[in-house]
Amino acid sequence: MSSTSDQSTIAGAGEHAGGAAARGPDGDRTHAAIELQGVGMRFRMHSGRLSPTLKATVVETITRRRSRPRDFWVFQDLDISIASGERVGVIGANGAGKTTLIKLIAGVYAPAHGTVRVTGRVAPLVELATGLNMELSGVENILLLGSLLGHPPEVMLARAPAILEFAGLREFAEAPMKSYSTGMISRLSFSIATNVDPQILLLDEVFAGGDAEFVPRATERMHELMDASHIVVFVSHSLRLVRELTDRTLWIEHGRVVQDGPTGEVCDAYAASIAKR
Amino acid sequence: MSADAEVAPRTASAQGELLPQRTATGSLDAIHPRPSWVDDLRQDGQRLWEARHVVRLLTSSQLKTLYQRSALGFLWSLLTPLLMFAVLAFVFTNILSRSIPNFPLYLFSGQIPWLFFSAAVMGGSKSLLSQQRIVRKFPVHRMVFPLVSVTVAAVNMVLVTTALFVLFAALGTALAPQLLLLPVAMLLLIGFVFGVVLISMTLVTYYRDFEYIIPVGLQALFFASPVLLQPRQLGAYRIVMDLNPLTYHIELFRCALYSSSWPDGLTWSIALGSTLAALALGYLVFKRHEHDYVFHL
Repeated sequence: MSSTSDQSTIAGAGEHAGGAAARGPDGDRTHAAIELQGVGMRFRMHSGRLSPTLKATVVETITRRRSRPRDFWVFQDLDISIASGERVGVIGANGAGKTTLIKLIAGVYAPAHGTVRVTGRVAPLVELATGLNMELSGVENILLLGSLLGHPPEVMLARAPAILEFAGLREFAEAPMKSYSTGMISRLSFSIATNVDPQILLLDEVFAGGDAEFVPRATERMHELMDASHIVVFVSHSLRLVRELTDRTLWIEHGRVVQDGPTGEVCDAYAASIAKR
Repeated sequence: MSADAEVAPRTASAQGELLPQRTATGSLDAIHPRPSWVDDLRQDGQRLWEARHVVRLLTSSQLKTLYQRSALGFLWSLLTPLLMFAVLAFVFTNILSRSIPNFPLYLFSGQIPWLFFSAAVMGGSKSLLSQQRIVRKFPVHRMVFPLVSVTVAAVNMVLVTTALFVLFAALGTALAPQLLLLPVAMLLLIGFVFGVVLISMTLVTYYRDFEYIIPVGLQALFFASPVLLQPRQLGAYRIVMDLNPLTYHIELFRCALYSSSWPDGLTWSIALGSTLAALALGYLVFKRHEHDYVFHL
């Protein structure tokens, strides 16, 4: 399925495999898994901002009155375990920590406490167009986005014809992306992202962009990909989609798992709590 | 899933392949045993090697932007420094020509490293900011971005030097064995710049104010470096140039292109020492902030 170098690429693409852990990987590595143990995640606020200002820092250094940065904890002691074969929905109000959870699993954020262990190739289908480069051609962008997702160029080059075909961009393969329309760009990024054989699929809200003709094909492809992935984590505000696509649901509120169980039960409870408000 | 089925054997269990695994541990947690800096270095080296395709593709995209933006393309990246040299040479030959023999060549051989240094620092300092769309979405090693900026500037330096070599020869660069110093001087300067960029990038990412301070600092550094002037022309301020490590890096370029002489021990040791010190310090700063950059974009 993938070469050894491909594997190490992904293993290494993680934010920071801790020294010891990287050398002696624990657990079963033949099945995809997501394991969060005692995870704490904070945003450090400097008088209401994420970054301290130079002025404040200088003034505080001179007056020797250092204001303590205030920590805003998104998660404290979060334990989540997802095994191969699970389709997991994540629901909760805005600011509950859904996107932060996705970024922790994707390896963009590092936890402040605890351990995040992800086994399997991860494809975060989250605004992937951000990885594209306007100066490069369609094919070069396939290589670039592929390499950002941890796939070596030779693998992506072999898949390029299929990717361009699906996006309907065969004759634009060599054209720079700045000559593409918005629809073409979102078609291309979708096509690349869904052509990379992930074992773990991370979905944040609506994923099938593009024009009316493309959406049905994209939806179909999405379902195929979900079927082929070992694990799907789906973050959404749409209870209808969560019920339709997942069989287990995590309800997160203020960085805590309020309820974790079969999708039907959790969605009912969540809907009831919203109705009560 | 069949595209890459032609795989090397691996130590998978009977029923399936061995999947990639990533473990992230809390940055505030005490890890036992603490990884030593040797472990850190080895691991970062390995992860950068794995990210080499990202580096290559981002570099080529930036070079394209650099060379394709205008109709003349690459020609401009030659003409711009050339015209700048010409202006400086014209103005200063009349003022300084008596004190510096073959002033145009003196100027050219100093401008090459200086233009690389300032381009790399300008680009590298805001590399995380300008690539934040990628930094915020993909788990790419953060060092990739300054590395790309420095590589772009270095490729440009090598191309410009090669393309202008005919001109250098015409101005008096001797085809002497000292020319072999040039690649060494370039490598040392690239290492020095990379260390400096890791630090300036951290400053800019945490405090945007440095985006405005750095150009001013570069302007000051320009006059504290022997690009236009020689240390002895500074009189009482000579100490500033003597203490500037860039002086010794530029001196290496001069030995290769201008004076065709072998550098003395002091020049060698400060050039080498400052490169190692900058890399070590830059790496230290980077490791301390590695996981927090993303919150400041």
